[in-house]
Amino acid sequence: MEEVWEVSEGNVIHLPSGETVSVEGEITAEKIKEVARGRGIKKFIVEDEDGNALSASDFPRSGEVFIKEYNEAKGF
Amino acid sequence: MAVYGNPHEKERFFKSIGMSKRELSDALPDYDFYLQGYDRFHEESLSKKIVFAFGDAVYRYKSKGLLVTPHHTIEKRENFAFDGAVEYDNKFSDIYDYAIVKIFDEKGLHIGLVDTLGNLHLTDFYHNSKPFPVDFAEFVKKYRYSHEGVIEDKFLRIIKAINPYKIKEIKVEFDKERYIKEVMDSFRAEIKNMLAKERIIINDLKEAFDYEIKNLRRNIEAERQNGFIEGLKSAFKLKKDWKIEGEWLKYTKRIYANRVKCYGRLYRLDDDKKFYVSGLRIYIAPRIFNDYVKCSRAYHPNCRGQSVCIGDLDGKPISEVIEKVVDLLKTCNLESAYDVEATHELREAVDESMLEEEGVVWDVE
Repeated sequence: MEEVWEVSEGNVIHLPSGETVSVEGEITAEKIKEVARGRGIKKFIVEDEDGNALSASDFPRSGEVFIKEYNEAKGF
Repeated sequence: MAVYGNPHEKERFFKSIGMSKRELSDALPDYDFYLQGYDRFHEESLSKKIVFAFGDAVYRYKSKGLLVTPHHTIEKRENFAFDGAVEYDNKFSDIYDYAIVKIFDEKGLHIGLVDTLGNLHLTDFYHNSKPFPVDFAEFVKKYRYSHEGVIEDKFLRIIKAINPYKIKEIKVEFDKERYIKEVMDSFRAEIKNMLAKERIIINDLKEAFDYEIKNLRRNIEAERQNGFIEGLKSAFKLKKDWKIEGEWLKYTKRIYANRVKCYGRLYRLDDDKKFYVSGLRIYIAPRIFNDYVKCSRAYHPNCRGQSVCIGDLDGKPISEVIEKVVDLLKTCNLESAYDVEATHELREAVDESMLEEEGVVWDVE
């Protein structure tokens, strides 16, 4: 179950749009993917509160995480 | 054979008729199909028969003056057993007058029509991928009429009127003249009727053009308003770190890269501000391509000289590029980099494990 909160608290996923998704229990990698897919975000970076990038192996975890849309530069 | 429509419409269409594109092409090679929502018209289709399935291209088709109004005696009505399995949206009001055949189901509901060029116009029968109740190719072939056929039919009736046996029966020269006069009068009436119909066509054409012009005006106004709103939004975002210099938008800060991406993995860059892009500027245009983005100086794998490669943002609207380009350049992408000193230095650092690994790019495509 997920619901949209006005103020973030507990285990929360922050989206690029500014929207936040409150999660019951620990945040899992699958939950992150589900939320991203549901918003049409295909490539992204997941960061913790200090701006450190996270991998799937860093989950499950508690607290707040930030999904940041990833666009790639190129050179040729 | 071609099928015009967006991928979802095509998927539903093929599912409904129970045929693949290949099978349809084999069965009806000289047809083109226009599906719902597809409003472009292809000139090459003029050499083919067309099946419109609730297709919007019919408006353009009509506005090109490609339809003629048939004589009322030519119109045929045909009933077809569909057992109520078809979606009966009516989209024929604009072309109803051009029908030589009107197709109804057993309950008298309108399924489709054939215009004077032999093109078939159908309802939105494939809504929700409902199966077409009969063999689709056979159904289409059943309504294969031609413009030439209509003309033949019309002249056949005139020829029948001048029946040679009837002429032989006329014994007196006076009667013969009177008969010829009657035929000529009838022919003149026919021509007069055709001219009257032509005037109707011209009026229809004018209406169709007026409709198109009105639509275009409305679209232009909507686009102008959207552009204005986007402009306002961008201006508020811009005032902080961007300024306008002639035809260019210039980012006033130097951008420092803080990450490297290599083979899907992300590495943290030391906070020594070594890799940077300075004097980033974007040529002001509705959509931004790689050539529109320049910098004054850079030490970055994705920049060479004044060139900046914006990768995933290439071709995106200017508002989106302004919003995302700074973040984009904060990550050096070694998977597609210029052959420059900054690339060599970062590759060596990754290869020799000198950089701290910190996560991956997530991909849910």
